[in-house]
Amino acid sequence: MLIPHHPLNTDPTREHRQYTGTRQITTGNTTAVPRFANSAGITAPVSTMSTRARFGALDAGGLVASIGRGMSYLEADPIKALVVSDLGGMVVPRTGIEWHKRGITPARETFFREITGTVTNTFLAGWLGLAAVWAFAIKRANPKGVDFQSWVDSKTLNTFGKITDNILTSGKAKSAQEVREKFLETVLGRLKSTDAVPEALESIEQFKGRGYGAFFPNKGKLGSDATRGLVDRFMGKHYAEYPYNIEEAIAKGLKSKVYQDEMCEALAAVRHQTLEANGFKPLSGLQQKLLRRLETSETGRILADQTRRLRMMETQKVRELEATFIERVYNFAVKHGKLSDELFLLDEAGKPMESLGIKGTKDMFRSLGAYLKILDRGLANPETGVIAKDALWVDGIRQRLFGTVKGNWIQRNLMPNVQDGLLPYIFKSKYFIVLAPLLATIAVGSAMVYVNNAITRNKTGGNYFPGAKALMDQERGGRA
Amino acid sequence: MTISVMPQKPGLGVKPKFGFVPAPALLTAMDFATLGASTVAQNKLIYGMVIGSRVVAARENTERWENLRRDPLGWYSWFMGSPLLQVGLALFGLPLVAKGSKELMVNHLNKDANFIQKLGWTLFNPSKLWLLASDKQLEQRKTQLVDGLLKAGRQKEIEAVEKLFSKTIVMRGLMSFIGLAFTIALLGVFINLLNIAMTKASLRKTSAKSEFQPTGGRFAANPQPGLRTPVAPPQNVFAGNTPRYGNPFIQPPMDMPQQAPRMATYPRYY
Repeated sequence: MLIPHHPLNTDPTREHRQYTGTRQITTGNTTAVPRFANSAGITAPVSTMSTRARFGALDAGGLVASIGRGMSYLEADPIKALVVSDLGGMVVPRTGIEWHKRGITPARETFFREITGTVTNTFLAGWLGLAAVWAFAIKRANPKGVDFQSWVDSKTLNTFGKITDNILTSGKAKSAQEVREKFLETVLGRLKSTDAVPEALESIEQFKGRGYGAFFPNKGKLGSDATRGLVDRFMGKHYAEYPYNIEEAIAKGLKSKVYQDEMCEALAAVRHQTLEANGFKPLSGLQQKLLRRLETSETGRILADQTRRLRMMETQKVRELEATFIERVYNFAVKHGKLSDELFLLDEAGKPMESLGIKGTKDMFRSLGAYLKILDRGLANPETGVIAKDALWVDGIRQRLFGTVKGNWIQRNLMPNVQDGLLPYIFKSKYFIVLAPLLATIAVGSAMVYVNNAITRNKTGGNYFPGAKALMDQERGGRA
Repeated sequence: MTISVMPQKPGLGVKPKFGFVPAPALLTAMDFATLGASTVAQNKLIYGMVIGSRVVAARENTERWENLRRDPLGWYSWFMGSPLLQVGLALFGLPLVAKGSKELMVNHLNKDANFIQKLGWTLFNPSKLWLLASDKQLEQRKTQLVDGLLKAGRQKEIEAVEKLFSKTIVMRGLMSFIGLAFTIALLGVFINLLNIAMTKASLRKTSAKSEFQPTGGRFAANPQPGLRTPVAPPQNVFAGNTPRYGNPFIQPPMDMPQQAPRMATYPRYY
């Protein structure tokens, strides 16, 4: 996805616009249009074979191929496949059969049951979750201003958090910048595609002895140079605009005239109100002390508010930059790193991590980008926003990332607090964003059967199962 | 009133305990993968709970049995039908149709798992044992291989490679389609017809029993069962009915005078 007139588009390497050259598409007015890289970012030649030659007798005029394309679209997202099999397998035929075999009332009950089932089982939780994320944009719900719109699931957060903590405590990294780099090296160096094609090429009978395995020397993993290339891209050595240090931008923004003026005006207002309340008489010593205390607390409040506002603005900016960046990193990984569309993360022993499971490659890079924003917030100096290249305060970083507020059980484990570390804060917020919509969906889904029964009761005047009554009536009629 | 923006330095003499604590299992299992879309794990839980509510709220035992037949079977075939059939087709069907496609498509994982694990995964998560490559992955692999062959100057071999990969990709789409069609047939047609047949059989059994059982002398036994006379079913035909709402099956005894029909009520605008 390319954003027009975007700063990232002026990249000198121009990976995304390579001319593939082998086939030219001729449009109606016989103008040759050059063919650019496809969505997978691979710029290999398009086959010149005809469809029939490629698929042989199997393909009757492209029907099989178009079925395949349709299924590819459906299976890209498991929910899509579920919705189609729900509508096609539960709603339509069941209603039809009920209508044909038992009549209108059972058919209406069936239709209502299945269509509400489709909505609650597949859609409602997602919609409510989205609404919860929007609700978490307001200050009261999300005082820390964490960007939940760039979502990272808990499994991934667990994995990344553990890797980060290991790097911090192992003492291998000497600076905050190095922690970032080591983290990226660890994650990217352990990616492995889920398909078995690189290994299988050696064992397929048709290809035996041709040495096709040599084209995939790393057997579905990233090679060391490709890993280095990806780490460099995430470390900002390739593109001028990304990664974008939000913390530094915030520190800079707080010093700008607009925000400083706002602060001064607010403090002046506090002083004016106090003097007004005192009838503009000179303040006593105690009153002056109290006023100073009031001003301090007001400063903290305004500073927190300004920081939050700036953070929201900056994260939105970064989210827009990120979409292009992720696309390019994905293309690089597929083309040069020979990854495929889905992958595992391996553990230290080289086995796929069970706790993380299978993850889409693009999704992995997206999560990585989103987690880096969290990590940067922990690594950056809170005053200046700079990620140090020569210093590392492990305790401070661990507190900013993993610390939990002191207090009672509910405060420690349930309620998100400004003073929480970033990951506990996110986990606590997720109880409200994830589990509350899920419970609500279950409640709505379970209530639907009572609604259905009530509709039948109102329409027919009896609390009975119309499916059995219809069969009973048929039996009575057919007995003669 | 004070809200600190920056985290404070840990207090003196307090040993900091800031180690990473992972999110609890409930959250990791039920978390969203992307915004605005539920996950399959969530769908499984929601549908399971909805099934429970349907069983609890069933008005009669016939309905309860219909729910118990339809919904658990529906749950399993909705979530597992297509994956299972696809794995079966890949393992046993593919070698017959396209040689070499199975090796490209199937990644055999967890070969050293024990029997119980393998059985559980086969029934509920076949991708833990046989992971099928998606058509996008196969497409990417094809392009990577062809790219390599081109760079190595081995153009002659490209056609054979393309042929096998294209055939595998077509097979992948067909397998998904068969899986979907099978799921739809199982869910929509088979389960429904089974339910109707079984409810009918159960009703027949109950009413046959009631025809020959004297019920305390309140009902006259039907003198000629073959004759077309309406036979009032006794009250125990349907367990779980609630007389409060007036069950249409419970008809007044034949010898009792019928209630006069109510006067027709006209709409308000008359």
